Amino acid sequence: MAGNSLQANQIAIQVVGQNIANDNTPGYIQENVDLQPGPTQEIGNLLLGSGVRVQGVQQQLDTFLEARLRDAMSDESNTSTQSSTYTQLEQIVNALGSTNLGTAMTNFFSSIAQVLNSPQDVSTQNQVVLQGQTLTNTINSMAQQINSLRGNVNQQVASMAGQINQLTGEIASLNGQIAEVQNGVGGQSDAGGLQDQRLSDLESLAQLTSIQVENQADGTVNVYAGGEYLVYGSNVNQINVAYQNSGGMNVAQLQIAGSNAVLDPSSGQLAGLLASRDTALGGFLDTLNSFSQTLADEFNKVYSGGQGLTGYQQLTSENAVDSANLALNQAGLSCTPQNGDFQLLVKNTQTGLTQTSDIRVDLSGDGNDLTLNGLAAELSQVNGITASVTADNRLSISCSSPNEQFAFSSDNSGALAALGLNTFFTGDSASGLGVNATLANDPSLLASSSGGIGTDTNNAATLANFANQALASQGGNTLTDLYDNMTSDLAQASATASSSSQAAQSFSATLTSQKASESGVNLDDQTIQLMAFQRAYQASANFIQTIQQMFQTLLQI
Amino acid sequence: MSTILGISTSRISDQYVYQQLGSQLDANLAQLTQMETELSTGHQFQLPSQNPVAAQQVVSLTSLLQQKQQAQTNVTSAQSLLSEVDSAMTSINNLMSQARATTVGAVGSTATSAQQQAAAEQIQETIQQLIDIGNQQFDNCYLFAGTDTQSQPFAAQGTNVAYSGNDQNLCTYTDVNQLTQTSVSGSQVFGAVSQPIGANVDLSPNLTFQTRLSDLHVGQGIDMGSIAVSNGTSTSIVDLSGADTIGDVANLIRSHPPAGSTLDVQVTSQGLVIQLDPSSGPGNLSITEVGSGTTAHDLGIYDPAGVGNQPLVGSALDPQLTATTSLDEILGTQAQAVVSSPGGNSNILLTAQTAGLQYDGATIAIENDPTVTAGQETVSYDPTTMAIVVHVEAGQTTTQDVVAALNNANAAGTIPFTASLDPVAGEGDGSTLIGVTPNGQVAGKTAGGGGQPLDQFSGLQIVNGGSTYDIDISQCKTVQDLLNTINGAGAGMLAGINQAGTGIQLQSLLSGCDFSVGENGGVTATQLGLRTFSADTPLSDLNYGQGVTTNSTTAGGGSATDFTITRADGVSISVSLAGCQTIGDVLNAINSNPQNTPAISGGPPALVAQLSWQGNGIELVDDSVGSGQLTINQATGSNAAVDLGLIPAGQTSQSSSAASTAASATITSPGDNNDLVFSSRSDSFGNGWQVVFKNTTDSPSLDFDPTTRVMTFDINAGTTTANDIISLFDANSQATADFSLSLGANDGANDGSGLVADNTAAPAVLSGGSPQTVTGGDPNPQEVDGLFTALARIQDGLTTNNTQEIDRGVSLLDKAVTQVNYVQADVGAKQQGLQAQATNLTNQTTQLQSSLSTVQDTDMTQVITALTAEQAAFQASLEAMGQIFKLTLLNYL
Repeated sequence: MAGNSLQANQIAIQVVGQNIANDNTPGYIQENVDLQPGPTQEIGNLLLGSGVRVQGVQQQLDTFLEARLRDAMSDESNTSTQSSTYTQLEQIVNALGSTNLGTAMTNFFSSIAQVLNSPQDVSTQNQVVLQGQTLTNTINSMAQQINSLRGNVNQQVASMAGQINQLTGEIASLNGQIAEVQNGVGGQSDAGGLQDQRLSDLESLAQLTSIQVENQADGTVNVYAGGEYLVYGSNVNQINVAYQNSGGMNVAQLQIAGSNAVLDPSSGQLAGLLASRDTALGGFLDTLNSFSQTLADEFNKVYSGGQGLTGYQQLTSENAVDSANLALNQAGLSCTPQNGDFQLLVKNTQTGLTQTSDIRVDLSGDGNDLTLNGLAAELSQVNGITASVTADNRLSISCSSPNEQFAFSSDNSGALAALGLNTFFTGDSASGLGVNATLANDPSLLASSSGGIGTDTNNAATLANFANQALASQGGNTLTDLYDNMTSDLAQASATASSSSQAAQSFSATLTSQKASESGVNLDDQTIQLMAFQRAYQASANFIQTIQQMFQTLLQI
Repeated sequence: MSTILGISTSRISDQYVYQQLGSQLDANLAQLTQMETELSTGHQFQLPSQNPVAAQQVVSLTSLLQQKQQAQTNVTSAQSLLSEVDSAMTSINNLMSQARATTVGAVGSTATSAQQQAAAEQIQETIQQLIDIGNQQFDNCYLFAGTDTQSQPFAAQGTNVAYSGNDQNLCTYTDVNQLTQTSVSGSQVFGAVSQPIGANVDLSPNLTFQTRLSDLHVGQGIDMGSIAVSNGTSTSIVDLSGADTIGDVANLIRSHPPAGSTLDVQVTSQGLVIQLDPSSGPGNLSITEVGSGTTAHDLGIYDPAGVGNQPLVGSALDPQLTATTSLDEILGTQAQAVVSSPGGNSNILLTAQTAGLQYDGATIAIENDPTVTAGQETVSYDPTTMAIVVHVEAGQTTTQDVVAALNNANAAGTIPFTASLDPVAGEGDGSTLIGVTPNGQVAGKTAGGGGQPLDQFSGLQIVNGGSTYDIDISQCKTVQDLLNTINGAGAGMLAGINQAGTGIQLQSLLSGCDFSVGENGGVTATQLGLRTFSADTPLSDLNYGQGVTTNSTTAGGGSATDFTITRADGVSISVSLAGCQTIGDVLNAINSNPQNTPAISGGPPALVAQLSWQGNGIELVDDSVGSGQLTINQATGSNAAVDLGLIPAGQTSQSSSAASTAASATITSPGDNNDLVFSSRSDSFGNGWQVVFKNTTDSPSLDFDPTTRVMTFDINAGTTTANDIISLFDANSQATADFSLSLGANDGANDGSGLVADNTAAPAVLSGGSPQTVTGGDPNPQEVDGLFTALARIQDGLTTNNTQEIDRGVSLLDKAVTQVNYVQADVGAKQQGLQAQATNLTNQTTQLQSSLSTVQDTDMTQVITALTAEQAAFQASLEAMGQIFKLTLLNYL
């Protein structure tokens, strides 16, 4: 009896020693000795205890808390990933900086306002072109930076597969070892170190992607992600990367091997990356694209009805139609023209006289809707003008006489803007936006007049205030409103992401503290236990001494 | 950034303590770093997400601030421009005062001719100086060229000054959304452009299928929405919002009839005509608005009560005149008929080739003719009944064939109508067979003609700066062609569409001289309302507004004679202008003067006063026969004939330069004593009359036919003598009233006894009648009412020692001074406004910057205070940590 008592206390002291040794080991779970009274012996008609025995060594662990902690960690890494993406996006947009899209826009419209101050000064017109280029460059560079950031995030998504596979592999292998240890020699004891290792792996995995963990009777754990198992005993379901082209980008997707189900977790870093890539960056890129398209289309609609200081001798439309025999509103133009008309002005530079012709853009749906061929024919009827459709389905217009120039006026059909005739901006996406090269080569073509070639500055007056004009196509919003909405939506989304991240972080930290408080080692506590077991050991030893003295006394008889 | 972690109540482990302390220190450090960033950047937040609401304010405040700053630049630039204008105008004012002083010093009894010449030279110098000021540049822009800032606005042309700038003003944004005029044009300051001629003329352009909706109601356009068209039982909502032209509207209405009906829609020269097609049965066509729209009202077809099966005739839509309006589509309307056959795509529009009421009422019928094969249709026309019949091959001839046949007939001169396929969609691709008109009916009847076509053959005559320009508009097709022809003629005139958008107007750009717009042998100028001297011109406007000096009334209250016209036949006509207000009244006073008797009984007055066919002025045509000279004599006390331009200035009478001759013909028959001379009793009346001797009877007679203008003497070639002819003639009162007949001279004994011969092979024709005329000058010259004209008039007056001209020049100069002062005051007001705006903008910018600062900038005191507190907290945490780590049971064992 005394023997097993000594042995039990020795074991207990060993466990305390282990705990003290791991006082500062991260992830270490305090171990406790499970002491139980020895079995009762029947001696004569008495029932006597047989001392103490060690039932097992168990970890002081709250599995419930552990599951919550893992969820919280998933949330934390999900939200912090998103928040960090938003922060980077905000830095790209740089709404509070001195060089940003808003400033470029204001400078651009200011440069048009400057045209009003010196109406026929070509250098002022050139300034408009340059500021226009700065504006488009700003948008291009924003798009390019966002795309590159999005590419980075996409790569991280792809690299997640390897990290997940590594962790699930380790967990599976630990599962095997733990099962072997606990079911073999270990009996009722926990395989402490292995368990600690596995817990830490599970936490790491939870940070990558949200998981559900099921503890099994044999000490193993099964890990699930969205109904599919990642780890089952010592078996692993590998994660593969699949690529799919979307929006000019090879978008990476994680798939679970076997079922090919897409891994689309609700939380974890992976969820954060996916949301960053698709919602934060992709969504903002969509907004920026639609902003660019609105800027180009709406500005061009107003711009294209104006005339420059000089007219054109030859002009080819920027945008091609699908087929020159299709009605213009069904010919695949990104900006759709509508039923209306515009005027073609032909100015004789020698006499200074202008000839105006009404060009009807009949898209009334009466069966005679205007095609590009039809438009070319209509334009060719004007004296001195030859119009034709090029091989790549663009419209080419030219003057036959070197003393004549042509220009456009009063377009209510939007056909000029749609075809890219006499436009300021080219392209219809954030990365493709540019300033019309014809204009850039000859800024005197800047359409600041509306009463004829080189006549007045009425169109410039309208264009200078364009950013403050309500746009019917945008529900009455102005261009400034659209920009404001774009930046404020981003700020809101980012603020939301940031505060959820803080909340998740805080929650996760609370749970971590709770776990530390629950499962961590307290030296004072262990010292007390050490002393207690030491005293018990001493007492047991004294008990043996007493017994020995009793035997000696007996033997001396 | 500090987060508060829950304190465990169950158990404290060492790890827990480390974690707690660690995170606390982290939080403290983060807080310190944030504060440090705030202090170093001076901004409360670096990313919008740190304070989205404030960040949004920053974004919009920044944008507003930038716009205000641009407005400040604009205002500064406008201010310097205007101050330049202001100083230029001060110079102008000084020059004008000097010019006035010089002029006043050089007139009067003591002034010598040499002094006047010197003054004239000085005025010439002033004109040159003013041109130089007018051409002043600022920042590479001409100050007074309107918006045409790169071309020199003023140029001397001989003694005149031509302006080539425009009358628009530069504008700039002096605030967000606020466009302000920042310049004054040369036309305002120098009065370099004349008042427009024809500013109020309405040429009433016609509505056509292609007329844009935005041009309707004289450019006010139409608010396009939906209309509800009902046939009495069902209603169709027609969405017209996508329509661009009235043709689109017609197509849309026609293609959306109420269920069970077919609609016929026509675009007339006035408006829309809509009718339930008779084939679709009875009904009541009504058109109402949808909701609170005004589209049906705007289109003039709102009719809630309905018109039954009758056509719903929309009210006039008054399109405005545009550069592309065809000259065929103004002034008059062409009569038109729709020829419709059963089924779609078979409507023909029959249109008169020119405007005018005379083409109304023509009918057209389609007849089956077995001799005709399809493609060879023929057209017959009866000019008296105006009935067109198209002969077709029933069942073979298509609508297109009929159109072609009608147009061929028009080209051949058979019918005065042209045909076209109905432009309404579904009505006129012409592929359908033509329907034969039932006997006794017509397929269509023209209506709606009116007015007159524009006289494009004659053109205008513009006199400007002493040169005459004949404006040939015969090749013009559109209004813009017409404007270009005038603008390109080098006549110093600016032609444009008037502000009301109803007609065209002319302005002279040449200062210092007279200009006028008159006829070139036709009625073009009158039709376009551009003639500067017309029947409507008030007498008070004549002679630069000095009017006409008349003998108002006699002592007895009767009308006093202003001038007397003596005709060739010696008849004197005393003309009094009492009660005359306009030139038309003056013409009337002469033409209907009781003394102005007819030369031929029952005929018009022998003397006709009219407006010149060439240029401007009054023309007197004396058709009376006599040896006298047509003469106008001014009555004592009246200057009316001079003021009307009939007598040259400085004279009291004017006579025609050539004597008149009466139309006559001499008939010489073989032999002597038989020559007969037929003379018209009015100079020109007899021109073209024929005299026929027809040898068919024994009893001679005379047939006098004024309709065919032929006198036919039925004679017996063997017996009828010249005297017999005279007897026959004298016996015919009609003949003697219009003609006189005498024996020829130098023909034997001249006794009329010779026989007359048959001349039916070559009848005699009276000719050579030409009346005497006096053509007056233009008493209503126009001028550019401005500074240069004033000075040019003064200079001219000084050179020619014309006191009246000098006086008028001085009063023009005074008006010009008033105008310059007015504009300078306006410039002053603008400068003041800009100054106020500049102050405003400075205040606003400051305010905005302060708002921006409030929202964005770090509150240093607060942050520094907080920083100190945070440092203390950090220190406390560190100390607490040290204390806590010291505490362990082991120390006490």
